[in-house]
Amino acid sequence: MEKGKKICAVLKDIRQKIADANDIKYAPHECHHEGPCAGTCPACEAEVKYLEEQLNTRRFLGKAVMLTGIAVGMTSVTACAQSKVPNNDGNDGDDVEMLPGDVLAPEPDSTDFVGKIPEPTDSIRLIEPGERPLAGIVPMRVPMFPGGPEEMEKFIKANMVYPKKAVKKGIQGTVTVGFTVQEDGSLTNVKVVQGVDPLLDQEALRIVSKMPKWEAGGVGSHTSVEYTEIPIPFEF
Amino acid sequence: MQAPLIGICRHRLSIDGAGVTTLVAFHGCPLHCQYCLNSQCLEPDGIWRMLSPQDVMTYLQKDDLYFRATGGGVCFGGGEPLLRSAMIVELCQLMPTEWAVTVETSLNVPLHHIQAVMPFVRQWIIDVKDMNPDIYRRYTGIDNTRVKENLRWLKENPTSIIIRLPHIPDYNTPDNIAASRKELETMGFTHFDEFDYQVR
Repeated sequence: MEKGKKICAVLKDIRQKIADANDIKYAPHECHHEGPCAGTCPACEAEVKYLEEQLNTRRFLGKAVMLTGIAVGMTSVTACAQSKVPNNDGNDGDDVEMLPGDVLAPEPDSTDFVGKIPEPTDSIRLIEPGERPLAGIVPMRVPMFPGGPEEMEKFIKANMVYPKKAVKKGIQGTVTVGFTVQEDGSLTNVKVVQGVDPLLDQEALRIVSKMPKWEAGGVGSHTSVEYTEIPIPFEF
Repeated sequence: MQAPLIGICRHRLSIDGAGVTTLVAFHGCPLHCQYCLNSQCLEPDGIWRMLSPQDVMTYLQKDDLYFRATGGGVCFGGGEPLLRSAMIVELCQLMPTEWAVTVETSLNVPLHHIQAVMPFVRQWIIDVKDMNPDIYRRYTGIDNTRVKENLRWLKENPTSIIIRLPHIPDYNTPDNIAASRKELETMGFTHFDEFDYQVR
């Protein structure tokens, strides 16, 4: 199994363990992504948020929360969720990785964007505006490109103009762009969080500037301003 | 306060101590190791980002759940993280005490840096290269007297320490490593990690 997928599987098992220990209903999203995986993705991060919300609710209700040390020993995979990382002088060799800055070349296969936030079920209801949080609330919605991650991938591919100079220089990699999704879905404060090369960074910013309004994050009928990051892979 | 970083790596599984950890890698190092894999930490343009402790916390907080559940936390590496001891201290003061803090260091820094972070560090991973001064100087470009002094100081303070004893191709031999280990055992150290440097 590819390293990122292994990390993803371990993290998912940890989430399951936390949910089970605290009697939290948890149905991990089914990931159909077949490309390289970074070990985490917005859908996985949304599940973490969901668990945090649920644990906070338990605390609010005065219930015990089982968390500290319950998943000790579950981290048997040697790897890192992001891209290539050298460690001090090579211990662990190829398995030692880190999220790079501009200088550490990121792997082109950054982030798995496939998957959905758990849908409400009969036993899980949306919290209404003004309502106090009770057990069984759904997680916060993360902001999303209209139509979902697959549509976003299509949009990026359709709008990407690979800089000719970058092609000549053989520059590839994944640029991570961060921005704030406002309540009306508009994108503000767009910036490169993890760059590859100024040529690719500029193109990534241009692509995001062309994006339509997103579906804002929030809970129930509430919308909220949310910061998010997306990977834009540049590959020949 | 801000410090230069070469990267932040999330979801490292049992690489830097127990559990899920996030590596915070600082720019800058007093050594110039022949086989350094993070040579950008010595280059002026090798800085990924300048971040404040609060900025770094935004990366770390994402994995609070994993840290607590697995007994993991944060590993400071680099580069030489102890050169940024003030930043590490400030970060540790912002973190939940349940997060385990690990430092990966050469220990070739002024003692006050070590003393500053000491109260917050759960585990030290110390790469001594080789205890032989000539081998050390040839490989890193500097003297290891301070490393030995700092090791003696650390030994006097109860803490968890793993000593890395690398085989450095063309610089030391199994006999050299055995001699280093013996010297360290004499100093009272008991946990060692012997491994081969990857030459690329």
